[in-house]
Amino acid sequence: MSATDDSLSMLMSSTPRPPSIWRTLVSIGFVAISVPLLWLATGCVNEDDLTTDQRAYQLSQQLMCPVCDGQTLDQSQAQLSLDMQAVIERKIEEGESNAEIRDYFVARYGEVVLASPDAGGFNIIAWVMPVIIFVGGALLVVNAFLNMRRNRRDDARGNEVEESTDSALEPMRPGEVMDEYLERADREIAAAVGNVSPRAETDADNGDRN
Amino acid sequence: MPSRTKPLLLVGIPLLIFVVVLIIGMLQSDVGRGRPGVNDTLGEVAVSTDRFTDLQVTTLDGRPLRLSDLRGSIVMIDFWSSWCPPCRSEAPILAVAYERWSELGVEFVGISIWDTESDVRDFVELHGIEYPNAVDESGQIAVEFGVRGIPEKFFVNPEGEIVRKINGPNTSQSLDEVLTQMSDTAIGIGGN
Repeated sequence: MSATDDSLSMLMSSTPRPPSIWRTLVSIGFVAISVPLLWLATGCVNEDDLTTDQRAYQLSQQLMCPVCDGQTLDQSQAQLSLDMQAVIERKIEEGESNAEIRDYFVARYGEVVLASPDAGGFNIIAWVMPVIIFVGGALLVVNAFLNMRRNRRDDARGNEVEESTDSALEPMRPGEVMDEYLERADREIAAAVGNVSPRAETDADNGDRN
Repeated sequence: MPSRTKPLLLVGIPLLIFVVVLIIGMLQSDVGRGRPGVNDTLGEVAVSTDRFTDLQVTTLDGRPLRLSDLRGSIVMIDFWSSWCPPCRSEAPILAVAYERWSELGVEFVGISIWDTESDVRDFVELHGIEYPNAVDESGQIAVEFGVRGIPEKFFVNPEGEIVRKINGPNTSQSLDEVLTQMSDTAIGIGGN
């Protein structure tokens, strides 16, 4: 195999492979599964497992003080907040669920009493957007990472090809270059003037003198 | 589409929507409004409780009072406090209005919230208030009615349904207007 063939085969083998679709899918799958699992893990505590005080505290964190500046019931010392907390405790003791208690306050103070919006209607945007942004960001990071890896691999292969191509072209000695040049000049002069090579004539003249 | 533009759009467009929604939400937010005990919305507002909520209290003279016992009459329930300046300025108006409207079968009930019984008794005596008053010591009645501040008034029709709610102090004229409309509705003259 000639040096040119070697270079060609090396070039062909260094053509960048498309990023593994499986690797990308696995990354997406990992994000898609881990986010809901994380969500479930933090939110799957059954309200029946909590004491009255724990449930009251949990609810007072989920409800806003209606007359305060952005404070939940547990943060506020307003008299109305304290009264609402007492109502929460009474309703828990009466056996009402967290959802029923939240609905009770929403009916009286509107949806603004909820610290986090209800996951329905237009409010769904507030719940979905962070997930979309998180997944989108993760995809962007994965994509950037794959691009970086591909570019680095291409650069490495490009350097290898350059080195091998350089080594395939063996350098000529200066004398050989001159001989080749002179032979080429002879051929061109002969073509232009006739079949007699000026160099051949010169050689002949030198021979006569000798 | 260039390979770098696509992921940027994928993240950029939802991010842009999120920021726009966030800005709209901040502009329309109630955060920063409202102080404890002070109504930031004055005038007539939506009724903030179950329309057939019953009320059960013990008045200052020790008698039990139930809203359902007053069925058949128009009832005005006033949430107030002795330390509240608008309540003080409104008290003489309510005292005079009760004298006039009680003759027409309209009942007034005062519920003092975030207050002490002694202050409430002094206040009632000072202003010559004749209609029954009670102290909501635990604040449970105020929460049941969705009270945010004082004064707040709830108007109950003869069927026992809470039909109107007014935040802030009333003038004699505005109170007469509401009660006249309700009376007209009750006897079938006007709509409500």
